[in-house]
Amino acid sequence: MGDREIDQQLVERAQRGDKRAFELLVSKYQRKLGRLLSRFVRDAAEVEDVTQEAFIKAYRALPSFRGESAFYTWLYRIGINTAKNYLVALGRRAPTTTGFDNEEAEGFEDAEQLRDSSTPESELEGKEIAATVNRAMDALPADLRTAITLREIEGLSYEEIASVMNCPVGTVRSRIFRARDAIAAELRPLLGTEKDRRW
Amino acid sequence: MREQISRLMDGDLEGAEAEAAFRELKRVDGLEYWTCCHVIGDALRRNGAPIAGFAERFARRLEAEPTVLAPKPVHTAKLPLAWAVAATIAAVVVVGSVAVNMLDRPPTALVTVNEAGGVRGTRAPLRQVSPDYLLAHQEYSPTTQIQGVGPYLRAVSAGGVDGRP
Repeated sequence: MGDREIDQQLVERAQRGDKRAFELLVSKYQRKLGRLLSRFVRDAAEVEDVTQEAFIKAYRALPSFRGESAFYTWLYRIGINTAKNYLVALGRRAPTTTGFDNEEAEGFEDAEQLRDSSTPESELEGKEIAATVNRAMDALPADLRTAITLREIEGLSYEEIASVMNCPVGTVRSRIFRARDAIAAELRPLLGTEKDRRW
Repeated sequence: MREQISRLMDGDLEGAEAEAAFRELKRVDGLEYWTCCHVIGDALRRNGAPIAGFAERFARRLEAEPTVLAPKPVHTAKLPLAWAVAATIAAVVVVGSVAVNMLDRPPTALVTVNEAGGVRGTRAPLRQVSPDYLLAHQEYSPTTQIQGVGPYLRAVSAGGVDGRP
């Protein structure tokens, strides 16, 4: 089951009335979508508003989602339209092009191409999270670090990682989990679990 | 629980195991672990920083939304393999039984041939057609190679002064 199939499963659950499944999709894509929409809307509070609105519109439109495209491609289109409508409502002009078309939406991960619209506070928090993740990565044993890098950055499957690292798939599975768990242990205090603080 | 969620994120779970992981994700700590792992992935890919309180605020908005219920998708294009096999077998049985039935009936076929041999042909009387009618429609007769062009051919050939075309 690939990334697209996992999203499809979550979508189908949400279509059957499971709101938590949709929350999982939001949790997965809110940073990516927010970063994309910051190309249209500069102010951090506005970016959050537009991102939330885009997710709500996506939720309302779920019955029409047939899975013909990837969920993020569909969400991307909704996000762009929401941002453009938002700017029109304010009498502001949307950028003529985002520089990315729908086909590129899924692979849209280039950090340098978009400008973040973060407040000094959120920028600091973002930097702190990045620093914590990097520190935790550095502290990992080499085989765990390689496995999580191949998975998260290179996007390789467990089988491909097993082939690259010349080890059984079961070992890859265990290494990736241990790497994630170790980084998560460092990160969790930053993310917080108290009310009004969930990320 | 955490390992199941990690594996689900990577598409390493199927069937009952995936179902169990989805059940874990209904719990608050399951959702938090899922979020944490995705924040790690986004941080490693430099895919944007999380916004504090986003999930909480969104959850409140989502709660206020009426629950969507989409009709079950109808998968007409992808028939299960069992149906395809059943259809193939049924087709083979039908065609086979028809073929076998035909082979099993030589006596009937012989009777039919014998009966056909006894039938004698008769000559149908010709209809009387008026000669005027035949003259008037001579140019449309199938004896000309290109029907309907006879009048035009004559007109052209009569146009020469010294009788030559």
